[in-house]
Amino acid sequence: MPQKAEYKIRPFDDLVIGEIATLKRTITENDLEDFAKVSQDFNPIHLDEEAAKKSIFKGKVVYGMLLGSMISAVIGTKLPGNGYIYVKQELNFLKPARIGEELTVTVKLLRKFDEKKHVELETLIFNEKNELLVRGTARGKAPF
Amino acid sequence: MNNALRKKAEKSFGEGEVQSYAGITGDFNPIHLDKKFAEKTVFKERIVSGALPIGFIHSLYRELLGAEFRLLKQRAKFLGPVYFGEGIVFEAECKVKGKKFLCSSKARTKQGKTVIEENSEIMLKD
Repeated sequence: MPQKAEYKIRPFDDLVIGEIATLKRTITENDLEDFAKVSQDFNPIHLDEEAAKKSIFKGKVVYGMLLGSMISAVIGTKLPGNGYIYVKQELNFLKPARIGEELTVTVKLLRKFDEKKHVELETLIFNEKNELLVRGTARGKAPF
Repeated sequence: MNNALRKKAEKSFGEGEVQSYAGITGDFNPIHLDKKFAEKTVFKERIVSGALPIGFIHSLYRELLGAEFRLLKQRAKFLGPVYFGEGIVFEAECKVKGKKFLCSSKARTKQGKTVIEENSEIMLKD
């Protein structure tokens, strides 16, 4: 965990509709093994190439909830940023993500609800061929 | 309702899980990791990353349905905080609908407050 003396906080009023934040990440086999340990999800389609080849995916795929966590990482550290948390989230898994391909998470601020300090966000994940893998929305809130 | 598969379990989440989750996913939101930061929020102390209880709910679905499944859709409402070390009671249920399973879960505190409502659409091997 990063040790920071002070975390930058984006005040709710400073957030601009239409703002976009992105995160690029390539998932490795190691990442899947680590995620298996923390989630206790040992589904062979994520961990065993031989078994995964025989599945509908024809090879190992990245955990759906690891993709979801990449979105959560953008929301809680970039847009809206430190401290902001989910009120709700929805994810549609359209295509599998593969090991070793660069994934791009894009979060866009769609709406602001001033009274409750809530934000509505569009959350997308693309692969390096620019195919949409995950489409979702989230509502976040400021905890301050 | 007669054909529903159900499972109930209790779990708490601690330092180790929150730290390793952050390290693996890059989700370094200080509300989960930094005590001083969390003190200044409405929660007054650190709260558990939402993905941990969601992950636990999915482990219950796997116990009900078997290991190899494909997640099509997932949604969750976070209605209240989950604090470190707090015992949370999870109730999961899966029902068949056509070729899919519709699963839903509730997570409650010991005081009976619902903190998470989750729904997933899952397909088994086709």
